Amino acid sequence: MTNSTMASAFLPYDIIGGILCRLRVKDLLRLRCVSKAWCCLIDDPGFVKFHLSHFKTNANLSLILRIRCGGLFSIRFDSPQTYQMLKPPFDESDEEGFDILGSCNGLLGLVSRKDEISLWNPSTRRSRMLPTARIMFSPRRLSFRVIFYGLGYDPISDDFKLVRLVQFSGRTGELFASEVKVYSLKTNSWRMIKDSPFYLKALRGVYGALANNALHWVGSEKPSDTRTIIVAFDLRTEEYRAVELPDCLGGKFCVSLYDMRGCLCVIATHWEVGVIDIWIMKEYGVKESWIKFISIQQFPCSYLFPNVMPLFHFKNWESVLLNIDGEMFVYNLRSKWANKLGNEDWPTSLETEIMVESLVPLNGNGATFDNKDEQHGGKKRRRKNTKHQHGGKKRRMISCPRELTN
Amino acid sequence: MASTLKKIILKSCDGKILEVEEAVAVQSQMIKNMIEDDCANEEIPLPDITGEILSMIIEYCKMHVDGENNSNNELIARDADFITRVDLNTLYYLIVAANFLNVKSLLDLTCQRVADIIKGKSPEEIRLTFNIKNDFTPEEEEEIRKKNAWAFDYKD
Repeated sequence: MTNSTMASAFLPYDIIGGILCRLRVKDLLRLRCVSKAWCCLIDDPGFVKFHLSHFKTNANLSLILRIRCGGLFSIRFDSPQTYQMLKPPFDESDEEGFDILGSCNGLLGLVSRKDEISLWNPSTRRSRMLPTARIMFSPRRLSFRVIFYGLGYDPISDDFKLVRLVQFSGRTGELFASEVKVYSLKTNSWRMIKDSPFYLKALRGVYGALANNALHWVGSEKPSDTRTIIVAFDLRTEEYRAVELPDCLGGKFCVSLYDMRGCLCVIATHWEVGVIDIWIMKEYGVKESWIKFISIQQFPCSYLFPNVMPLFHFKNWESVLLNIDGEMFVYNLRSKWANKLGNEDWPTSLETEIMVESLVPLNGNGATFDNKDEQHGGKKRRRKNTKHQHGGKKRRMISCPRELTN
Repeated sequence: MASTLKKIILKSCDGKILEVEEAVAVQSQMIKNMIEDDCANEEIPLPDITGEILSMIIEYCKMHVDGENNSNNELIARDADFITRVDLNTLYYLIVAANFLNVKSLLDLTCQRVADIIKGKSPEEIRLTFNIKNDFTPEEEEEIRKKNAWAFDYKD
């Protein structure tokens, strides 16, 4: 390679975009000061989308790990030997702590134990605290309250939506009610929408799985109903619908719900016979397309079942990335062989999330990165340095089968 | 293999005439469309593409047609060998030509090469390498740098 220069000033704009879409966010943020034209291009909402889709199609993703003694790390799939510590907008060592409620197009939704919510783009290091949304409804006879969350993107309104579903139920009986609010990043405000006709089961996870522009929770028609269904909330129409589970889930089982690159995924734990099955819905909305693609067998029935969390599939389902009790495994479906990911000093993680790098801004209008609101809440940081075990409060992991009534 | 016998005649902007097997020529989506529309029976003039660049593109396309049965890794290695021999100035003309002729894999390869060159460089180095004039005032530039000061830490 000679030390020549290139007359790039004459390259068509779309070709420069075709080059820059391959660069990491950190490089791009630095290259904004090359020239006005480059700055405009990098800030352009069209380019932000193009960059995002390039990173998504090339599986240029990161694994977010939450470790037991506090601390959030990101590991890029293309260089798994190095990991980077992240600084979330909520204090990790704070007694209250926080959960990751969802990951979508480079944004992570975080919810603190005080139910404060923040949207965070770890790649641009910008975050935004959501305005408080009071829970208006307080039915007298329904004293149980569970809050469900979900984060997604609505391609029709070109907006990120964060859904909060507060469900009220009684100790026994058929009565339940909900209050549902949707936050829009574009307007930076909450809006009340119609409540859910379905009952959501909190034990199966309170954070919605994102697939096909809809959020999904495990639920049933009524609280006493033993027939489990998947409750879907369409982010485009803001309508609820039921997605059916495969028919052949016989016997006693419990299910939890995940998404793998936008594909709906069910973990069915058959706790009486000691089998964990992983099902995927190949074609969204088509009941017949459910496929049982991994079956982990022969757990002794007295055994505490492992937490299995599907995260990602590679090369058209040739292999899948699974989090099993906090350790990462790449399971090859052909050889039926699982390889542990990472080396000895990899931390055991409590929580894992898949994230794509993106330039998606948090000021809603998609044009600049200059919003003052996006600064990190530095004040909150490092109040106490008490080690906090999140284990007991971990909500998204598969729950222990003994709690099941199915 | 009857179709490979047909030759397509390409003419560069500096008057060089190149005869190319159809199987090689159709690596270019543009030429493929012309053949389908029956517009490729006479020589195809290619304004803005010099003979030198055109030969390189044909070399690349030939390599891909010949290597069809090779493993993916082999092709990647050959692509890498091809692209690292190219200097920046030639790379520029290759991109423009690959874009015009719509040779997707070559456009991908060349754009990725430029992206790899850009990776980790400072804005000053980029301006120098790519002949870009800094049209920000020092104050404006400082303002932009301050917004993402962390991105100027080159450690990772």
